[in-house]
Amino acid sequence: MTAEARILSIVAAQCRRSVTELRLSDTPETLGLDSMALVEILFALEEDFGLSLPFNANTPEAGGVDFSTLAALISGVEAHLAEAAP
Amino acid sequence: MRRVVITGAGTVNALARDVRGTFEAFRAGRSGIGPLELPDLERLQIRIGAQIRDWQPEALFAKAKLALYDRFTQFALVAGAEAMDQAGLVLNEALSHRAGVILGSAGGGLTTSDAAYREVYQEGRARVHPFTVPRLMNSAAASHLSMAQGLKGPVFSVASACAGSNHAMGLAFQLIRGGAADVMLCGGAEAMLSFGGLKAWEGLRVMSPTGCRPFSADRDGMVMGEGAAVFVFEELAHARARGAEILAEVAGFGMTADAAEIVLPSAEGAARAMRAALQDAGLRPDEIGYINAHGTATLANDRSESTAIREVFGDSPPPVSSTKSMHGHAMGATGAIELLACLLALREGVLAPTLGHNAPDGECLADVVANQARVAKPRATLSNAFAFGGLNAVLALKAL
Repeated sequence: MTAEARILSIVAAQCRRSVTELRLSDTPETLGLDSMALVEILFALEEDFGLSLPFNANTPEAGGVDFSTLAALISGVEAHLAEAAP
Repeated sequence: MRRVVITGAGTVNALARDVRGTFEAFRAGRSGIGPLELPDLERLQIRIGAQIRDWQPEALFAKAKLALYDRFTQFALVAGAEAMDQAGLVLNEALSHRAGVILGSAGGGLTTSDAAYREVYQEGRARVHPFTVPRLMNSAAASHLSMAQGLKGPVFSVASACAGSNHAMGLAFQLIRGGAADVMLCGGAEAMLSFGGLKAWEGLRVMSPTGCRPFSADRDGMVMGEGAAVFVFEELAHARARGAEILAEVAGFGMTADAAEIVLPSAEGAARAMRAALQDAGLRPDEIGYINAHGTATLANDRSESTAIREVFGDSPPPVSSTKSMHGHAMGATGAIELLACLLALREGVLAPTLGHNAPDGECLADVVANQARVAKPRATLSNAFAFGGLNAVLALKAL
């Protein structure tokens, strides 16, 4: 599975939707995800990819992981993966 | 109606090992937050805290007793001894039956369980110390305090996350007011600053890697502290009859639940708790000259608490400060440590500052006694605790 596919599948599982129902323009609001759900997604991503993703719920815009849209989340995680890769 | 006063206070926290030292730190605006000294620190994302450094229990307790005392119990015992020493009570058999202990703690003997898990799961050892259970139980500190001080009335501990101390003190107040006890040692104790404790907190993503800046526009989360504070609450006539020095009156207590979210706070629940405390105390909002905030420096709490305070106190609330900026968030002990700031205000006319206030946040309160202590002598104060799970507990103290 590509990284994007893995990310989509994690988000889909959290939302209890199928991957095909997700749109890259989806936001936490459209997906029905509150702050607790976002933190769980973060945990699942870290576990799945085996890396630490910096994110502080008090300063969500301050870089690290961008939850504003699904597209932003994917590109943010991919950027971290690229950094972590040898 | 029976009235309740405070006749003794004791504490250990990141600022000092006693009340006098804590008051000095409050006046000086000194922070106890710094780099943590812990095993496996490199495995933690959060590496700062308000830690009690160079704690040497072997110097404080007999070896045989120490085998039974988790770190949180040790803190409670030292704070309790200071409080009882100040109160100068002479405990005869009759009084001992009418005297008890209620302490708040969020995690109880976490240092003990952390060590036991490490031994069994990480090191593969075949056994843990036989006293592991009596050390880690949440009530251990309350029990040991009752034993150390000979208190044989109501003794138990209370769990309401970060509101534990306030609930413990509130219940002690109600017990005395209601006639079930004449003297109660009350407060809280917490020692969650272990590798396991911090690792657990990291996942929630509410901790700051940089510092504790309550109500500041650039705040980025909480910083954990540890310690204990214990007070002697006493029935007023009993205190006067023996010529005790009265530190303040416990005027009222309010407790409410948000019944909303398990982590995020609700301004509505917080406002109701403050109103309930005021009503219980027979005080009007304009009679409050200082509020010690819950003020964790999270985005959510500080906004929600500011809204709640404005709702109850209107557009010109009294000065509010969060001393978590100095002693960190001491969890189940934090409400008790923070009550000391109320005593400083009432008795010595100094409002402890909110450190790290770099820029005002439009959604937060304007007057947070920013960065420097202030001379002011309120006649009455509120102390707020708004915990995870929507548990709100507010104490009102008044000068006597």
